[in-house]
Amino acid sequence: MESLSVAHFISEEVEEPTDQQERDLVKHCQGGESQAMEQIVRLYQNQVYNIAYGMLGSPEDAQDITQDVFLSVWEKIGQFQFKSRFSTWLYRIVTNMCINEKNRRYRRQTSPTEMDDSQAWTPVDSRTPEKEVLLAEQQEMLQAALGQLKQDYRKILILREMENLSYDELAEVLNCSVGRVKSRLHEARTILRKILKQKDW
Amino acid sequence: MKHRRIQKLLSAYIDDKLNLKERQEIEMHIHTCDECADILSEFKQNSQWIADLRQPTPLRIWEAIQEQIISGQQTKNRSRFSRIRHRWGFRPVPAVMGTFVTACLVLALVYLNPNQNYLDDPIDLYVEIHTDYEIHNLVTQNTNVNQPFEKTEPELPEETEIFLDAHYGD
Repeated sequence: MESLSVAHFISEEVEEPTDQQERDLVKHCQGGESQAMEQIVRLYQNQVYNIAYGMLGSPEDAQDITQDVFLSVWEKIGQFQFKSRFSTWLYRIVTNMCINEKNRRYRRQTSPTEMDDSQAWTPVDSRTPEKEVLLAEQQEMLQAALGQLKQDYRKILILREMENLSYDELAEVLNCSVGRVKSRLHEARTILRKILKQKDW
Repeated sequence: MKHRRIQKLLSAYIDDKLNLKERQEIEMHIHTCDECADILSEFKQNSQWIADLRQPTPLRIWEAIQEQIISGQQTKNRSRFSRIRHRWGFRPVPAVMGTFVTACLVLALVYLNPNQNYLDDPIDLYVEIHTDYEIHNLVTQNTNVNQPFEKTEPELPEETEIFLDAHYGD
């Protein structure tokens, strides 16, 4: 691999790769080059981490899942056949692993990630401005509401609102039609609104 | 009824997925309907809130998994071999049995070949004929002591003659 492209991808400001660059990276990765895998991790870690955070509601769990996702990608990348964009394949892995993790915890009757209204929020810094306190409370409330949604609704909202995926990309990740994406988004937004209203935010 | 229809379109409206006519219809309606206007603003607000959940990614994700990835590189190469093994149904026991059976068949063909002819080799053929010839002479000499020794060529099939001529000359 050219050192020039390595420097390009590892730079602090991660630019979205072109389709060709993405393709090359994946191919190098399939050839077993750990350097290429490092670039993939650095390129997509923000997206993967934030989707996991949105799905699980806990930064620690999101970090653990992010690591597991990339290990799983390294293991399964040979199965990727360029039928879709690499990013949509990756998002499918992240969301599936998050849902599996939640189901596993649900079966074990331990749900440390579940947020509820009684959970005390402790500011890191007592001098945190009021605005930030409000933002943190708002986020906590929102995570609690997202926790009450069906996994499918939560998934589509996180991918659409946090990662700004287009309807076409959503259809690819969720393996359904664009029409179904449209109606599911409508349902998800309507239900989330109702839950937040009940909480009387 | 109009509220319901408008409300169904609000989600697509905030994603800018409506045609011009639908968009204008919604914009005209929310000017006059507080209920639908509230829903629209809450949809937008909730979308923004979810977007605001984004956090800076913790550092050292790569560093945390680097070791496993690099050590897995060797495993990966091995596993590629095991995939091939799996695809071709390679298993140690059938492989050993298969080799043994093949070896037995080859040996059986070598030692029990029904078409085998040791006279295929011209030297063997020559030695054979020569031996017959000498024995014949000895027998003749012993039985007919008084008769002078007469060197007679053995009767050979025509094909063999040609063959011997070709290989050893006259």
